Amino acid sequence: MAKVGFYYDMQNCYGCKTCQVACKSEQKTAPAVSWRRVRDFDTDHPASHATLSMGCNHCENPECLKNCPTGAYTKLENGIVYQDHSQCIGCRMCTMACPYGVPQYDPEEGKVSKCSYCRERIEQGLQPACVESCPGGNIVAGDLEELKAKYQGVQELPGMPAAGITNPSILINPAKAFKK
Amino acid sequence: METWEFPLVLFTVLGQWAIGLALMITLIEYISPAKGNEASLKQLRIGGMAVLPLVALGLIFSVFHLGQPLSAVKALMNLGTSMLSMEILFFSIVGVLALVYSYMWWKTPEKPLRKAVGAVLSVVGLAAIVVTSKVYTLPARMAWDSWQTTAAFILTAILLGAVSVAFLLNKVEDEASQKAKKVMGWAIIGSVVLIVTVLALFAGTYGASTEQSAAVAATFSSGFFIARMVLGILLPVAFAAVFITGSKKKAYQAVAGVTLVGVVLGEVAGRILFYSSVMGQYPWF
Amino acid sequence: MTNENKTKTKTPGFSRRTFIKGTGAVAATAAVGGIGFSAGMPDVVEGAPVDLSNAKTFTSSCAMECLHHNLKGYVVDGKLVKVETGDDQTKACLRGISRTQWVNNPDRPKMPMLRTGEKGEGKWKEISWDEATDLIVTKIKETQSELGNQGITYKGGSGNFGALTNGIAGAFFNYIGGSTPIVGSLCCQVVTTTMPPMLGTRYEDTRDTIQDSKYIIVWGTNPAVTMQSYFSKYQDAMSKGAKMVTIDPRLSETAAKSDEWITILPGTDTALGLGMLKIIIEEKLYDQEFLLKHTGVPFLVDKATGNQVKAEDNDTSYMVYDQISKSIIPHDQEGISPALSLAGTPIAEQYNTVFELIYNEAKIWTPEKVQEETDVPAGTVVRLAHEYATAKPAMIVQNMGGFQRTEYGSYAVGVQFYLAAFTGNFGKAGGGVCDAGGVGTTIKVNAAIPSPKPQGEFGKILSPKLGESILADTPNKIGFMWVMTTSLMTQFPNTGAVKEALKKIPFVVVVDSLMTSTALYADLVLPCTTIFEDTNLLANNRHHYVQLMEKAVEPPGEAKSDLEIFTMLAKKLGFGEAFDKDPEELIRVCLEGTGITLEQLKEGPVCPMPQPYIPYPNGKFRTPTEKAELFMPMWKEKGFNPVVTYIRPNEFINGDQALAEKYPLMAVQRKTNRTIHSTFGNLPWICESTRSKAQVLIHPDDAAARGIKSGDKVVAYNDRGEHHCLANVQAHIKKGVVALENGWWEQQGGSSSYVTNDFVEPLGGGHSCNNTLVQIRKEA
Repeated sequence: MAKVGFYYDMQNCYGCKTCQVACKSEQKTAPAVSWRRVRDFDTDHPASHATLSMGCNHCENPECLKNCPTGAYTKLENGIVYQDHSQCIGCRMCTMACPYGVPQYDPEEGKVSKCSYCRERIEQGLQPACVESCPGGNIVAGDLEELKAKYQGVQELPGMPAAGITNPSILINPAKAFKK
Repeated sequence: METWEFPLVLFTVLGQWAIGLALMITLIEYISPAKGNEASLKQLRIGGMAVLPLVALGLIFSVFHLGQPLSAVKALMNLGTSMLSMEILFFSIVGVLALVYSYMWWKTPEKPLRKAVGAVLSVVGLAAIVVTSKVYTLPARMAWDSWQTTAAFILTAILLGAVSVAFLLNKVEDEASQKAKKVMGWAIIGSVVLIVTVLALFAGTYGASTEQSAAVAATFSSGFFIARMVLGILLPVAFAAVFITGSKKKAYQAVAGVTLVGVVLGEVAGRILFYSSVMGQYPWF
Repeated sequence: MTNENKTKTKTPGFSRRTFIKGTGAVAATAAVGGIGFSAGMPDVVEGAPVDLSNAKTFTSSCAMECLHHNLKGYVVDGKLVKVETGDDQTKACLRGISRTQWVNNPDRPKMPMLRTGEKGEGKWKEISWDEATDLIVTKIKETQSELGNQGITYKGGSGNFGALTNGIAGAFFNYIGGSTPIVGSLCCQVVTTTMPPMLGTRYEDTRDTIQDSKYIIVWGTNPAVTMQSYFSKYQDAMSKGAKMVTIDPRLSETAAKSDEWITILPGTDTALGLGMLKIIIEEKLYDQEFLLKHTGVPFLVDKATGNQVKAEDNDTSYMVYDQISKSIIPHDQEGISPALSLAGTPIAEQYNTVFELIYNEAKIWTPEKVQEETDVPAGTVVRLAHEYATAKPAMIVQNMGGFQRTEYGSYAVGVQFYLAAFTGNFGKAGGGVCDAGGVGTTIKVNAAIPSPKPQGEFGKILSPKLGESILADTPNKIGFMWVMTTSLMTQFPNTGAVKEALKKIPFVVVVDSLMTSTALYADLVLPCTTIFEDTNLLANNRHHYVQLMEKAVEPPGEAKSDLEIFTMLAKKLGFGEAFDKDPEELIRVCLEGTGITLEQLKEGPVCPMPQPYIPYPNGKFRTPTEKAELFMPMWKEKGFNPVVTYIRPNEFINGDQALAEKYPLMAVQRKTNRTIHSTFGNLPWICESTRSKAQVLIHPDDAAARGIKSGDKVVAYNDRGEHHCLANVQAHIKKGVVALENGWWEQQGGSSSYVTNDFVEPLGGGHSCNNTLVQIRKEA
């Protein structure tokens, strides 16, 4: 069975953050909980600015799943690392264990939540909200193997967590600054 | 304040203290039995009875770490891969053993069985501490992901246990107790030396990664670090020296008391640093 | 926001996140009047995804000064629950999507609010619409009898481009007998005054063919933010081999994606442009055929008068020197060969060509001299000129950029047109100069309510000097002010003076859908609808489609549309019948003669423009001569050189030396992805996803000299005022220049406009905020 992943064109991403807000708008996550976040990668010498948009990487070896004491996480057949939110007890093991800071704790609710690859939208044949909203078409959802066949990319960049920890299902076309 | 993770600090320190206490009492009972010395037994009984409340208090604090304290029992649902589940299981067993152990001290039942329960508690307790340390050996968190976490947690148990027993036996002056205190003294010195060694090794990891450097910097630049050095390292060394050198048969009781409180606070300070140096960097990426 | 609503909006069938207990925080600050924003949002917009299976959808558009994206709104139980891109060629941005939080914002005024405390204090009492409109009528009449209609002024801005919004206001104030106009756009006044006489029209954008370009100069603008949904077209061009160069003192989001980032001293762009032009002329890199056929550079200028020589009996035809007949004849005569230069001709004594005049201005700008003035290296100037002149097609992206909000911005705009004309880039796919653009170039949308011509003499208030003018009673005392669709307190330069002016005016009405920075200084705040709450027509100069904006939900409380508000007032003033119309009826009036019907729009947006749209196709300009008229009589009438020349700004590091010594940092105003001017800046999603505090971007050397580190609270200040912000220390800006951000609300600490230059650009009446000098210190 195909396993989902994201291709992300960091070289063309210009950091508008529409994906981040589209995610909030779709999932209505609580204040300060953003399932997708856009990070800056800046250097001074030479001056460079790049952005990295990242939701959950739906890793092959998810640390959240492994460390969750209640077994709230499952890796679905289609590869989505899915959190059964009703099982979360707010211990935050997953927030500590995830290299990418994906699961986020909402102190108001006392629970953690994370990107579900817009499971409900996928099931309706729609694209994840981030993919749908990206004005540059720089986030592509699909079967990871197909994405790998179609695009060149890496799983890890300087400044990013080591991909070896979880084997994230992402393929990143690095920004200019990373291509020397 | 938030990143101090107080519930976890208190849970781990109290739990490790309880296990260290049981371990040291059991050790004394095996290598330097009190042989009918009422004073000595009376003091050790206080220690033996303290094991349960320390464990219980720790467990209660741990629940307050959760966003959903009422669902705490669900934490046992992933024994397959979750070290946290495993930790809760081990500490549940430690809790039961502590109950039996402290009950036995309270009721002063047959000695051999109590010693045996103490031994089992010590072994299971040490295993529980190892499991606790494994909760934090997360590949994503380099500052925790090391044998040093395991070593640090065990050393906390030994140091707190040894200082507690030395405190309890301070004013008992029979030969067995003197010997026991000397053993405790060496345990204190040994654990302190190892604690300092582990800290030095941790300092040496500066530069391994941005996150690691920040954790090291946060640790050694903190006021908590100074508190720990004074209260948790220098104070017990001076205290232990009294028994090792045999310069006096006992320390002033007040000094012993201050040392015990100091070492506990020092360990709490150290544990706050353990958490805050990492959690204070959230979001790490 | 009852508990019932909470449970209804949960997604059935999924064990998902439950609702957070956020409503307490809302309740705490929901009471209108306080300065500050509510921390939370009503329950429907946070906590868990909304079940859309029973949602109704409606169409509207992001109608402020932006790209007018078509939006689709989902309505469940009468509440707007989600907004996404509607029927559009490109995607709406984070702001458009955040409209859910605008419509449902707990801070929205629900009733007219009358000031009870001091202006700015934020103390109000709610009054009825009847009381409010009575009060306004009384105040209008009082002002009329005391100061005449000259004592009345109104300012509508770019907050809503709907046809039933600002236009209605214009009609209303003309119906009451006129008002003192506040003139000049802060955004692009000098483009508006330069482009139509020179090229024939404004709002000619090249967005449709960006991807066909071979060379793109992004000149003092930042399309990655301000044309963001079209930015992938720039990248398409690049992936097909085009080179993109960005000229900006700041490493803008666009510069970061460009092949080359050229830093320049603010306000010196004209010198760079003339330096490029010198090289293009001297090395004959210009497109002679295009120049002769499609531009006015061969037109003769009489040395005695300095005017272009007009053909007899034709005010819009000009004379050239024909090299075949060796005589002076009209430019549009067939079979002639106009001379570019008169050297060696018998008329050289008496005349110049426009070409010669332009070259005279350009030739002094040697690459070395350009470097001296602009700080662009001489080698870069030469290379830029060569690359731009030889790559075909090459495009300049102007898009109302910051380069033209400078002291002589008209010339900076003009030189870009010169460059495109000299290289023959106009009228070609992938070429030209990209302005903002939209349907106004192609169809004429009628005023919804025809407006009588006011009687009497009215002076005018120049926008950049709004504060000072009102304080000085120039041109006359103002007794009544109406403010709508604009943000005086975050956009207008020298905001401290604006604030004092608002305090001075006896009666200020602010119509808005939120308690904005300007509303804080009103005497009366009227709550109006925002999009999705009223019916409107969007047929303006930001989109190639005409769009219908549908009413999707009821506005909060008794908020009303601008049309409803003016209708109520019109009725009380005795001309109600002109205003009391159904919005759809008025939309039909607007559309009359455009070939587009309301019925068509109900089916979806309609594009009246050719696709792809290429401005001035085949070099046919829309001036009377159908040529690019590079000589500007208007400039001459104002006492300035009629061809582009460089004048060094005054508020500039190499300008007024006493000022530069006191305030040695050149401040430019950047646009961020957070806001359009000031709108959206209060919305929680925006604040969370971007920032909730103003920043100043400062070079590490400038920061070090002031003991400033990233994240420090700092103050940018000059004689006009102070702007409080956080330091962002990065080598992402030219040393000696700092980038400030305007549009931050009073409630967030205020806008950088407190310090910006209120000098009125003398050629076109523009805004010079990017020639601002400041000093920066660490906040004590």
